[in-house]
Amino acid sequence: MRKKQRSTNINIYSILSVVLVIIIWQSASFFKLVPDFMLPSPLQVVQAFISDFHLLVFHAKVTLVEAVVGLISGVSLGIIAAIFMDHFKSVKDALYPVLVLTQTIPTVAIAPLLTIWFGFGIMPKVVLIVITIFFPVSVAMLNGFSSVDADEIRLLRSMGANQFQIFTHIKLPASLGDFFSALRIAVTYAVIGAVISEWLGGFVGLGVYMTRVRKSYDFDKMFAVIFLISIISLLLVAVVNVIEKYSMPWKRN
Amino acid sequence: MPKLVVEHISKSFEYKKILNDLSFYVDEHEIVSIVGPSGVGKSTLFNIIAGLLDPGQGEVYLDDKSILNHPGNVSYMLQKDLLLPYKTVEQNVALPLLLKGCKKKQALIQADELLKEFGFEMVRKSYPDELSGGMRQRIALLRTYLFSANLILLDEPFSALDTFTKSEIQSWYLKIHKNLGLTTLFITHDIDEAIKLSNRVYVLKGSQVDSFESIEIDSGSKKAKNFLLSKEFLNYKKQIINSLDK
Ligand SMILES: Nc1ncnc2c1ncn2[C@@H]1O[C@H](COP(=O)(O)OP(=O)(O)O)[C@@H](O)[C@H]1O
Ligand SMILES: [Mg+2]
Repeated sequence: MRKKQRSTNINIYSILSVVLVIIIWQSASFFKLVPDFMLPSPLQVVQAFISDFHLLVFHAKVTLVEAVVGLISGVSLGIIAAIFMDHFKSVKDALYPVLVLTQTIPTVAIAPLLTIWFGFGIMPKVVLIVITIFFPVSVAMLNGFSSVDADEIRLLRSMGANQFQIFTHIKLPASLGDFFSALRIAVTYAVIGAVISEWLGGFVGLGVYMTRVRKSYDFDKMFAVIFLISIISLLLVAVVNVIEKYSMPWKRN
Repeated sequence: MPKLVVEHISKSFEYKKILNDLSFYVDEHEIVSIVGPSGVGKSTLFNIIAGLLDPGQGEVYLDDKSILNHPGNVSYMLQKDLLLPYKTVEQNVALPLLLKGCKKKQALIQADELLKEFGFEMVRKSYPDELSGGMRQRIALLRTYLFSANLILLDEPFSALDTFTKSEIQSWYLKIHKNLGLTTLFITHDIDEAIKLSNRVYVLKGSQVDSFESIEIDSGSKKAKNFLLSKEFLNYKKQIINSLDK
């Protein structure tokens, strides 16, 4: 009860601060403190958003599909890798350093390379997203799997459980908390990964739209698309939060 | 007829000999305790009987069939209740049935029936975190029972509970042991608890081969009022302490 109240309070404060920023920004434009062509006013951004709405939706759909496909592939691969690493120590020894290595690859640098290899379609975007989110997901899952109480496993073994049953009844639920933390990060990485990837090679998507409006110095449209990307990420994180709440009912109170 | 027969079990970890040529038995419907200081190998012995640990030497028979290295034959419960926090009370109790391949719905029905029989129906949808320690331990016992009523191994199940809850749950256990016709092998380092609960007490100390004889607790004297304060009780206690010191 008390907790609930506090979290709504936090929401009110955060809404207030956002509103404040927008007011300051709008006044700065209104009093011509910053020239329009460098920083459009919030109102202009909203107008740009409305006038270009259909175009934005068209590009956003493409980006969203890329992000979701990349997310699902990356998360699935990450989980599968974690299961293998948890099960076979040799796989862990072999794979873990490689995983760490993938984290040191600068995404911006390999995106053009991926375009050369996989063309201008969805493939290079998905591959880039998989490379970025594979590591955080598999490490989080591995962490979750190994945090399981050894006595819980012994108890299930004493009841004649097989490895699969131990996995579904203990390891999976025990690692859900870690999984969702990783998923929240993965969701934002996926959206940003898709946009960057479109920037560096593609014909459609919010990244492509962004490059176009930047080249024509339509900064109001530029801001509109930046906000749209943030909103998409936020909505996806919200979806993850809802799924988390429903799949971990024991954490609810 | 003996339910459980343990013959010439020895177990070493690396070079340290923990159990040395241990033999004993548990008759049907008995409660037999094994008392001994911590580190003497009681839990190791239990893991061997539960089929989780290979002793290297010796045999374990349940109803005349060897269960050495065969988990899934006897019920097993530890000091920690080990109720899975991700499952509701009824799901926890139904777990052993699910593991045996029972249909989910059927398992839950059976679990609910058992919970109802013991007056826990109001917590069946609760999560273990919401329950008191004594309550959790009872639910864990019901889960153990639902796994198999054949032989129940209890490894210091009540040692984490406070004195009052402990004494309450001990009486409760004596009652269900009788009502359900169970056979129990009980590990404890609490001598009073062993005398209170058991028909016979084995004293386990160090790894010497010599006598591993049980001390019989007369069930007649147990029925007396204030048994825990009686001279008989103190005599049993003396006997156990003496054989520990030997
Ligand atoms: N897997 C293991 N490897 C090495 N030593 C062990 C292992 N398990 C238990 N031991 C040792 O065996 C001894 C007996 O342990 P345990 O059976 O848990 O004793 P108890 O339950 O009587 O307190 C202890 O000294 C412990 O350190
Ligand atoms: Mg122990």
